[in-house]
Amino acid sequence: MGSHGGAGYSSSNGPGNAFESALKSLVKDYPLNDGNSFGTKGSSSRIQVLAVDDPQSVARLFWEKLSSSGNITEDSNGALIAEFKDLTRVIYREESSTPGVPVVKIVLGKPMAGFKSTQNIHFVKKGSKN
Amino acid sequence: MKSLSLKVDNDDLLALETLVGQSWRSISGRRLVEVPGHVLGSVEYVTLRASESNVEIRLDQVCSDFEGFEDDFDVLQVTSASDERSPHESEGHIDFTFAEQTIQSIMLVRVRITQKQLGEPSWELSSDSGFVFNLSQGVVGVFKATLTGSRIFNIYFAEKMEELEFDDRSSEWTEGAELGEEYEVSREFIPIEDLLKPVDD
Repeated sequence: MGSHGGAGYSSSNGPGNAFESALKSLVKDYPLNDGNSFGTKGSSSRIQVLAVDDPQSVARLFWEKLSSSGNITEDSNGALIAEFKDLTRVIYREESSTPGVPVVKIVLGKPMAGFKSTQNIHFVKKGSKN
Repeated sequence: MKSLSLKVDNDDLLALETLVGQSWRSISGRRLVEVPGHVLGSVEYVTLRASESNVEIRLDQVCSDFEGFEDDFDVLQVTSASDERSPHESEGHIDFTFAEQTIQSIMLVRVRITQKQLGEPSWELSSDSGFVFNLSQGVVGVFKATLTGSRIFNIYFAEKMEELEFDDRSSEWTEGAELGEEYEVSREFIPIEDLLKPVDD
């Protein structure tokens, strides 16, 4: 298997400068942990928990910044999905299986240095037991 | 050891097998504005059209706690599709790459991830992750974009199998591995006719 399609086109090398700038801006306000992901370890190392004062508005901020240069669609369950030319996706659910806990999932199409390539970020209220 | 097996049903494989020997017509999903004329992915379903029949490949979700906590996982399903345009097709999200080429064979991609804690297996995930369509002069891959729940497809085209992109997405686990935690990952490309052969007792 190669890294590029051979039919004259393929997914490109990155999601684009606008996405990378949005990510950098979020990292400035919400620094990455030692595992190169947002928040702290949740139920497992593949779930991150970001404790903030207002989970709904911070999750929305993540979605709005990261999706601004993407192609946006909605699935039949109401999740919003932003797609990028390298097949990076950002998925925003207002509520996870835990009521009141919004989720932003970032799935990079190509590896990006210093950033975990799949992040499942659960936004919880500071001091809550979620 | 807890496990989760997300295999494609035999009836679904039979629906797919009807395409072998037919001419490839199109695949529909979601176009991106940056890549006009082509479909590189889709949300929830893709529709494949061939000279004599059509199929829809869909991603459903199941919830499982085999890792010790509940989460959603994507499951592949295949059904026959009617000649009526799908919503994607009605919006022009169609790709005609490799149209008129013969579908020579189809392979199922199976990814298996085993987590070991201090050397002992703690859980195993076996996930049928997509299909590879071998055409007379090209290859098309329709794969899950994630193994956990997103209901998103990646679609790849290549002139040869060796050039086809495929990411098994095991990085969802391996990148965050903690001390004492290891992952064994295997991936198989299995001709669907082998999966449909009767099994001797």
